[in-house]
Amino acid sequence: MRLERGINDIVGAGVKAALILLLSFLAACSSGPRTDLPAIRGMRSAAAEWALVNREAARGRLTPAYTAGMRKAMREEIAKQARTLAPESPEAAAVAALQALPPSAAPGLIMRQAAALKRIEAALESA
Amino acid sequence: MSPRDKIQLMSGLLDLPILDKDWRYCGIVDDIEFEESGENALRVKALLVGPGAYRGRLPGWLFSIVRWIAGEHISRVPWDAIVEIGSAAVLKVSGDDYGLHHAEDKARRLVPKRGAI
Amino acid sequence: MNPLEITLGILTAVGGFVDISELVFAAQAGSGYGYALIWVFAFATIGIMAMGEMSGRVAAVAKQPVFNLIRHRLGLKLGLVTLIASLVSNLITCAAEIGGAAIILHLLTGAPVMLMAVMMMAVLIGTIWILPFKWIERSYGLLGLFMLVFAVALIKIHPPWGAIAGGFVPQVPSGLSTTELIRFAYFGVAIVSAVMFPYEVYFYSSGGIEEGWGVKDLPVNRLTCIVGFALGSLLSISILSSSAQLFTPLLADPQLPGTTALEVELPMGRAGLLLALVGILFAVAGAAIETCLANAYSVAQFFGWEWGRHKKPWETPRFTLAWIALFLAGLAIVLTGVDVMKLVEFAILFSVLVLPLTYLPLLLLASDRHFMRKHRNGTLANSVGWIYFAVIVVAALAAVPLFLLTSGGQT
Repeated sequence: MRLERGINDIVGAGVKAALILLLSFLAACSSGPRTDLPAIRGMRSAAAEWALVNREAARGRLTPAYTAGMRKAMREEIAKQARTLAPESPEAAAVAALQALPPSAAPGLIMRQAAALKRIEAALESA
Repeated sequence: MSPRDKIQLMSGLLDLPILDKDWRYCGIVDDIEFEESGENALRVKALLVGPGAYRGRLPGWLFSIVRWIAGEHISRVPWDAIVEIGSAAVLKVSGDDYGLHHAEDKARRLVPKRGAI
Repeated sequence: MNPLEITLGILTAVGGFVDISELVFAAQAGSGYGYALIWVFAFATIGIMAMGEMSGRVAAVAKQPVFNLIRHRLGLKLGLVTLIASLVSNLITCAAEIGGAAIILHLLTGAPVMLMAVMMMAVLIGTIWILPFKWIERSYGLLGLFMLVFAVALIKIHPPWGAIAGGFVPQVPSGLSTTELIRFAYFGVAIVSAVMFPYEVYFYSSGGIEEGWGVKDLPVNRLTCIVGFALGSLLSISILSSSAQLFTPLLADPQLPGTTALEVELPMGRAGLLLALVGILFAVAGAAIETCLANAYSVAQFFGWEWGRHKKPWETPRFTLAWIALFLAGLAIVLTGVDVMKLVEFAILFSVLVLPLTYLPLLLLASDRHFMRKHRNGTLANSVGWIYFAVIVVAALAAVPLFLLTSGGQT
């Protein structure tokens, strides 16, 4: 009983401390321009993975099921992240160019867009 | 430890699992019932098992949810049915004697008896 | 000690160590931070060795599994909080594993993901129904040894071994911005959570009871935890190191478990890809079984039901109905179409919040003179245990702020 009460007190104090910590962090660190950063990072990586899959598929080293599944998954990931961007944002043009590529696009073309997104990502990180 | 030894009721007995003489699990010690034993003295009368025994141990709103899900039945296990208390309370009889396997027997009707190695 | 039993136990621990959370976070840790997070894997592995050994020892000596003892030591109210929190955490983890296995089956066969999830479910339910406990654990654990292909692939790409060794030294990369530092901290917490998942302790201790462990099995318990988990951890570190070597220059932070298989394909071709996918499938499917059974064990033990797969399903009807219902609940989550990677993130988050509630009673029980007698924690086990408990509490307090600040590691 004493152990239970003691632990209850500790847990209660811990929860209060966690809430204060959470509110302090959020108040101090929330910022505007960085909100596109998760989407840009996700799209950059998905594009890079898509390019890698196409490169290895062209070398005949992947199965058809794997290639088709990964292409679809990466393009869906890019589309999902793109929906979170504002249409007039500076990144929208780069993303549109990426989405316009066909599933079996040349790896070099996809990587060009991935590199462009990487530059945008670096700019947002240092903003 | 036997029931005649001194035990810490809360830390040693409450919320202990219960095993019957066939080493089958029969629930948990959900509460303890006392009776008067002489002047200003109490002794343990029975162990209480079942969701109904949560009434005094949970906030009212939470007990209402428990009652809605599992009902509020209570099984009473007389103190003299206990033969040993250690990491579990061990009965000297079968759990069936106190209706402790009732829910398990009801559930058994839903489980087919085939296929397992 | 039977050498064959010991070997099988260790190999099962190795093959069963990596689950979808570790797979994804190891790969992303490598691509994002090179070898700088290796030490966190090593640190967390020592923690799960200590806690795993304690939970196995408690099961062997007290002959009661962890959740029986959690209820007894924490009482009804706090025990109920722990039960509900771990049910939620394990259910989300189970759904993530089912979803991950379905994705891998889709990549292997081309069949729709949801259909593969339903099929996976049927196979897992059939496995637990038909096989006794020892062979449930062993089959997926041993088949998970296909994951060793990741270690082979790492050797084949001739990585900078000096840099990998350097990764074992506790460090924070220099020159990180505040955002990157916070993200690094998030990955640290996530790795601790993924390696020390609460379900592992519940499953391991209940498994000890299932196999009828006694005092004579304490050396086996210690060997399995130390050697088995160490080798399993090296597998996770192989995944991280290959990702650092291969994916960082390609600008890829693996978003899906399927991408990780390319770590093996790149040096070993199509055969390597297929072996990696099969290894991931069995590792993740095995983890789905462990998380589901861990939940069913927790519920059954908390309410004092008959439990265990060392008995036939009809001999433990409420326990049987519980694990079937929990599997179906996990499947239902997957069938809503929720992103599996989101499930992984939430599994990590909920698990680290539950960790202190799981490990505190275990630490107290393992030191309890009444239950453990001469097998209670010595000075070393107590010291390690309490240090890790402090780390877990700090991780639990930091988890939610870090998750929100980094948008689940994406910022």
